[in-house]
Amino acid sequence: MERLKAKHSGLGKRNRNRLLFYCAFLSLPVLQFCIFYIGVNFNSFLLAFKSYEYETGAYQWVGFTNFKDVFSDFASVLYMQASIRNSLMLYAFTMLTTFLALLFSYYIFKRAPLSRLFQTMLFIPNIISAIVMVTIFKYFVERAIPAAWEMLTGQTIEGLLGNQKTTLGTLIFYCCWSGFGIQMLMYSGAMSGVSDSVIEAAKLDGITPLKEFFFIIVPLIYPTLVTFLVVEVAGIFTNQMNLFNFYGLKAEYSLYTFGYFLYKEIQSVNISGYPYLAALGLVLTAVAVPLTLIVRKVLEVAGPKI
Amino acid sequence: MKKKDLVKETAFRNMGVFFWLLLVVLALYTISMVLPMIWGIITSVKSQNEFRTNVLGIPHGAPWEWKWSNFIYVLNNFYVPISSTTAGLRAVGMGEMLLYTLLYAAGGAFINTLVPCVVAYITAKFNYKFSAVIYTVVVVTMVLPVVGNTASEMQLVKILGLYDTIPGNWIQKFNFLGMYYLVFYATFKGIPNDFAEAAYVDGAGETHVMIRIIFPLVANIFLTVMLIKFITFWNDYQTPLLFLPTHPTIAYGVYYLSNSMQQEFNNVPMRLTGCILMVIPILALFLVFKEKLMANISMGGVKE
Repeated sequence: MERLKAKHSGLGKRNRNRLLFYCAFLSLPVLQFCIFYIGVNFNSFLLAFKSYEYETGAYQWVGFTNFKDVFSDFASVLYMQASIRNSLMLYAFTMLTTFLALLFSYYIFKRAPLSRLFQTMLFIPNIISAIVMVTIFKYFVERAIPAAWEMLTGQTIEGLLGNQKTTLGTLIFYCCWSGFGIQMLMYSGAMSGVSDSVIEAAKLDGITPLKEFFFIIVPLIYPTLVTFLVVEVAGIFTNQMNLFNFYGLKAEYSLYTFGYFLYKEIQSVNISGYPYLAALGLVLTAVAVPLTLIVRKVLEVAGPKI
Repeated sequence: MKKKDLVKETAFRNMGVFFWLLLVVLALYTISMVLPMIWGIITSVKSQNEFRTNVLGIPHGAPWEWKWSNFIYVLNNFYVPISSTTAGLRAVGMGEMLLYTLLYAAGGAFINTLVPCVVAYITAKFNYKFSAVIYTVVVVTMVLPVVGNTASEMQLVKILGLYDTIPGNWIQKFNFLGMYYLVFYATFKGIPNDFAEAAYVDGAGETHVMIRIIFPLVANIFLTVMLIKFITFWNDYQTPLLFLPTHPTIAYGVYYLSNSMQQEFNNVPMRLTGCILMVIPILALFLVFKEKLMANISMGGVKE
């Protein structure tokens, strides 16, 4: 009886110690989460219904005024309309990049010639700072390409960013060109998890690489593909299209994306501008959340059944 | 037949049209990546006068006569002017920028790796209901995007007195949300409890088991995640620009340089020199740890 009591008390002590340890090590991260996630988002929600009064130096409740401003800007302001158009266009091109990234990943997965070199080259933009990559790219397309063109043809041309006809195309090209790295690693990692027996069976049936890619590899890594495509939906509203790297605060209105607009405004406005940005953020979140869920559902339903 | 043989089958001699096409596209991609880099390096060792007349070619003269002094000049003379209400206008040089970069990148990377690791360990190994809540919170915050809350964060950081301080920024990074929590969680779930049980029998406490028994088993993953974060923070200038305006990092400096109106830096060779200077340390780090990084990263995370 005594031994049983002692055993129980030992277990009780250990459980108590475990609980203490659990609470001690989780308390600070949970507190941080409460302040910097729940607190920030709750405050953002409240801020959207306020306005800064210079006379009192405090925020006052203004109901839906900020939302009215946001919606009227959507209808009339050039950079808002450009933001919608450019953000959607960028997402469409991201899809194209995804398809190319899948092909490149397959090449690397199959350990085809020079695949290690290509893997490194595709990953380089993720190692080098975006501001460095952009600065080199910017001067390359503005100075080196026109100089090379002149040398080859004798004709003078504008830089690809300087020429308004090619600016947007060049920016989108840059985003796609520098955006393969993480996708490539993600997909080739997923491909390496494809079962040996499946590949072996297909091989014995005489499958071609093209068919193996489309009918075996893509369906088997489809969940990874869906994850990426769903995460990218949020990118519609946060992707800056590297505009801040290219232009700082001075990008042309016609090039704006939501991501650039939100970041640039935070950089340049004072606290009186925060409520409008909070309202815009809330509107975009209200679109982004259901859109993310819909895209996920559609991709899951429309995807291959294994 | 082993999978290795099946996977490694694609050599030049048995490549079909499909692989040849991919090879050509990837080769073009590699050229398009290397060409601007080489041009950038060559341009960084030209004088402004030479660049005006010779945009494409290699600099005149022998390599030791090229304008290597651009690098020394940028290192010694480049600064970011910072104005603050307390200290007035002051110049932050490369040395100070490097210090801020190390504090921001190394400190932030360590904290931002340690916290998900600890929280993942606790929630994976302690079967309380709250552990499931934390796991769900991480997944939900990853799936549901919240857009445009930076204004609110900025306001809150200012109210809490964390704005424009390095420790304040560390506190902002003291969070467990994101992909790496899931990576650590899956890893800890996969570690059998036998190790910990044996230590408990020997009288070890919970902290001892976590730090001395379990964490060494995930040291490799911890270092890889920390390295990824270090590279990310080293390259990040937009966060310091917003939250640490008087503590410019090197990336912040390069951003300033690329938009600088200072006469001696307002030219292409000098700006590219600044870029090359910033890339050298991170590229060296990448080359040293390339195998580890490339082999361990998967799904933007880490393979076990």
